[in-house]
Amino acid sequence: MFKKKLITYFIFAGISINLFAQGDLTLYQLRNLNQSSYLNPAFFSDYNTSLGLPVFSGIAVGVQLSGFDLNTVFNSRTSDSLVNLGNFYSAINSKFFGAKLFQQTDLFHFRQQFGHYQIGLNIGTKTNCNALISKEFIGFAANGNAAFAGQNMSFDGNDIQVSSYVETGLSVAREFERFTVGARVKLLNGIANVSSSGFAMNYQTGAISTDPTIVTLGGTMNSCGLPYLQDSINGVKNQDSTFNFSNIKPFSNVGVAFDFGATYRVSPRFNIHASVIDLGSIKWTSHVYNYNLNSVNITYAGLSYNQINDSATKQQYTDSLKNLIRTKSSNNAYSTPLTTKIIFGAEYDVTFRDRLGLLIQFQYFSGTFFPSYTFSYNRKVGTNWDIAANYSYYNNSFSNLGIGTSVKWGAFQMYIIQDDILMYINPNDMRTAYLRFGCNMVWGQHRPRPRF
Amino acid sequence: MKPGFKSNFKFLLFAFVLITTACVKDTISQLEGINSVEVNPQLSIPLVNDKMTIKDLYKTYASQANIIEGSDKFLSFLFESGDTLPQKQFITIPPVAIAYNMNMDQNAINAFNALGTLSNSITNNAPFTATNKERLKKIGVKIGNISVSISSAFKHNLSLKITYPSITKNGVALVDNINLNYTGTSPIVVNKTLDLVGYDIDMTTGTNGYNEIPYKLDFTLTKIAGSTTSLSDQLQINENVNIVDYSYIQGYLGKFTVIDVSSSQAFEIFRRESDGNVFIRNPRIIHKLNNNITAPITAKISNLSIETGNGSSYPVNVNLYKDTFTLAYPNINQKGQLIYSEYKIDSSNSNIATVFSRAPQSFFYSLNFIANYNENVNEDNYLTDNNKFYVTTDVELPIEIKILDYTVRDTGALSMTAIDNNLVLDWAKVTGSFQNYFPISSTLQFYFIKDDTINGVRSFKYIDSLYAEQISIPSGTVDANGKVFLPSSVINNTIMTGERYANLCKTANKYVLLAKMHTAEYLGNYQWVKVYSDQTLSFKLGVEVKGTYKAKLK
Repeated sequence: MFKKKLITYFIFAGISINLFAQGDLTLYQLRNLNQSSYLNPAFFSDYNTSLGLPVFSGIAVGVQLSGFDLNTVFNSRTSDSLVNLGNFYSAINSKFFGAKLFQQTDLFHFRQQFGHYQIGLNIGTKTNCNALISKEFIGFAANGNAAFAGQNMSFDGNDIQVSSYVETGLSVAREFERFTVGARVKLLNGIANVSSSGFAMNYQTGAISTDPTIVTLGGTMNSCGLPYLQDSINGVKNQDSTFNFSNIKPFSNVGVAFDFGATYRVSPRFNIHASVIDLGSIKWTSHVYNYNLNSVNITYAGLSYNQINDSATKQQYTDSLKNLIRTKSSNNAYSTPLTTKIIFGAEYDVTFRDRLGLLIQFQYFSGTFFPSYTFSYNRKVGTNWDIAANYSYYNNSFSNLGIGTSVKWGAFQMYIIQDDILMYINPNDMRTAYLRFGCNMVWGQHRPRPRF
Repeated sequence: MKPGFKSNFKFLLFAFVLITTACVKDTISQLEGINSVEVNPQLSIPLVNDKMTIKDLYKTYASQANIIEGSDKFLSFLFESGDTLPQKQFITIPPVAIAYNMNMDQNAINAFNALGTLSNSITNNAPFTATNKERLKKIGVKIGNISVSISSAFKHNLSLKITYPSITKNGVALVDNINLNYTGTSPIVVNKTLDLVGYDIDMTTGTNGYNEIPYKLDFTLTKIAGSTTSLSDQLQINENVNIVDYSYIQGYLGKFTVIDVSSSQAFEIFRRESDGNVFIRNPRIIHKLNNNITAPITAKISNLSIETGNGSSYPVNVNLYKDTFTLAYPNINQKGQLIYSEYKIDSSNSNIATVFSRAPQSFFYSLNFIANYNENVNEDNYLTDNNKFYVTTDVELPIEIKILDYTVRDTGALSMTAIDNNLVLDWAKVTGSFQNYFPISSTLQFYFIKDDTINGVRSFKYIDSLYAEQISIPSGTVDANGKVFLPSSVINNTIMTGERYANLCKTANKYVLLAKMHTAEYLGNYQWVKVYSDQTLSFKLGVEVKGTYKAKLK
């Protein structure tokens, strides 16, 4: 009864609107890959030793669109192939839309099992770009403010987070009779970052055109490793207006993150597992700039006669407006959290070669959890070939079909994973593109699955 | 693995690659086909938000925005013009002649021959001949002299002393000593000039008390042995006291003109008036004078008139005997002090209100200021060489007015920018919001016109108007005293389509702004209304625009 309740909870957990869910849905199924332990440090591989060579070990790239897909763009075209922004706005089916890009490269990994322990070391680079734009922002541009006459339009929640860092992780896992636990501590070295926080914009349009327009702006943009965008900082003229590789100082931008995981064999055929990934942050200290706009309130009710006709008065007015919306710059260190993931899963081995699974992921971004639900099927062909397929619901889309495979040939373990294969057949509906591939070297005693 | 499965798998893989390649290629070609983005926004923007007082409104028409504000904020237009007396000598003093002849009779000759000397002393007064009933008393000489011409026919030495007891400098009387020594030639002539600069001449010590310069002659004749004396021998003294310029002059100075003032004043508030009937309740002209001339001065208004826009001239008729007034002046004990006086011409003594109802373009006036107009010789005048006399003529038009129908037209060049090719304007809606605290209603229309030649005459052609109907801005509600206590509010809209705008860009090159005004009405009658400095016309202009903009991506 408890198991049924647990399964039910996993299935119906998650209340937020789907926006983003990072890939790695299929990777979770391929347990023989060392890379799957990045999602749960408690996963034990069937191979004692795994070694990853620089770059060959793994490259992952992914794109996710939120709130729209290519069909949204194509269907908003007019008869002469112009994209009509108003049609595009109407077709966006969520409060926000945006895009996410990510890239991950394994530079090196080594994992070794010692009795009931498994210890691993991994080094890799990760780059994540997340941009969220309020749908009403596009609506404003597409339809103009008159469509919202007498209303207060709020564009809160716009967010941009771009981070690139090096991750060096040390993992330890311990297996017990029916469960395993694992943890990973990761040293993070930030390469570059752009992040926004607290961005808020309100635009109030008068009921008639003579009524004043009230705009409220506020927010902060931070950057690290990038040129400075304004003329001067702290009264000193800007000398840093072009990009310079010497400003990239990963050893100055340090952070720590943790992964925790556990698995539990409920019965010989039924396993459950859970993990928390990327619980941590990076403190950006080197070559940082902060651009802060402190909740500016601008009420514009029209220009006076003097402001229109007298050039000096006009100049004074525009200068005061520029000063009002001029950001205050500083170069204070700041921290950005990683995008934490919480993963729950359950698997049932139908036979010793066939496994059914359910995976629920929650990704925490911009103050909200974004879930995904995945039903999976694994097939073990022979002793060295694993095939994985899954069907997922996330990002407001039901059409997500992923496949992946790993093949061991001698000491080389090759794999390729595509989380949304339907993008090749119906690219217009694509919201996710995810590809991960690589080659590890594995040795050691093959730990077969129990036969049922 | 079964052979059939292998071939089927290969076929399926091939089909999969073919289909996916085709789908991806189709998507890519669709993406490449997108070359621009189109937006159809409708924007709403406030453009103008301002308020103007009557002073601001006036400034847009005229540069002479001279508006005065009373303690209760009631406004009046003030037009000032003035004159200042230049430095001048009002009185011209003709030369005062001093003439004396002396002969010796036989007895005197015999006594002279016996004694060898002869002395005598003569006192007399040299009269000033008045030409304008002057009674000169004292004169400070700024530029002047005594021309002396003496001729002695005596063949003996003559010593002459002429004393002018009333011509003094620093209290010391002028004395002239002259020696005529016989050297064998007769007559002995002496011509000289005595400088009088800085001397004071007192002409009151004679018998009349004025117009006389006393003098005393003391002479001594000393016989030269062997020279004879005849009855015909004569001493002739001819002098002229020449006063060219005085530094001061006192006495009754006769009737003379102080200054004639003629001036004009343009009324720019009516400059663009084309038709209309504007009444000003209490216009007035105030002549303000500052004067330190010690003499009764009478001013006479010789001309007060206005000229209307069509060139007609209308006089301001001042009532009988009211066109002449006297100025306050310092008496002899106040001499040198500047005394202020003013004279007002208003509805109580003239038809000025009627005349100014004709919306004058210009105002003309002439004033004559005459001293001792009544020729009272008992007056004790006092003039200096630097008398101060300022006359300012203020035309005050209190803005308590009644306007039945006043039209103002403003014309200017118009430059309308054509819309960029990437932008298509569907329509633009201009909204005007007015809150009127003025007691004046107006209707406005804005015309788009184009220069044209009609029958060889330069004219213009009507293209379009901004509003379908003239827009009306009602006046504020006034009380019984003509003061606004409640403003009026009005909102009006006009829509211009893109096509109409494009046509205007191509054709119209000028505008005409026509405004018709009248003052507030009460029960169908136009009221007298008052304009105060805190009354404003607030106006806001906003625009809503709908259009399409295409931005090219490549």
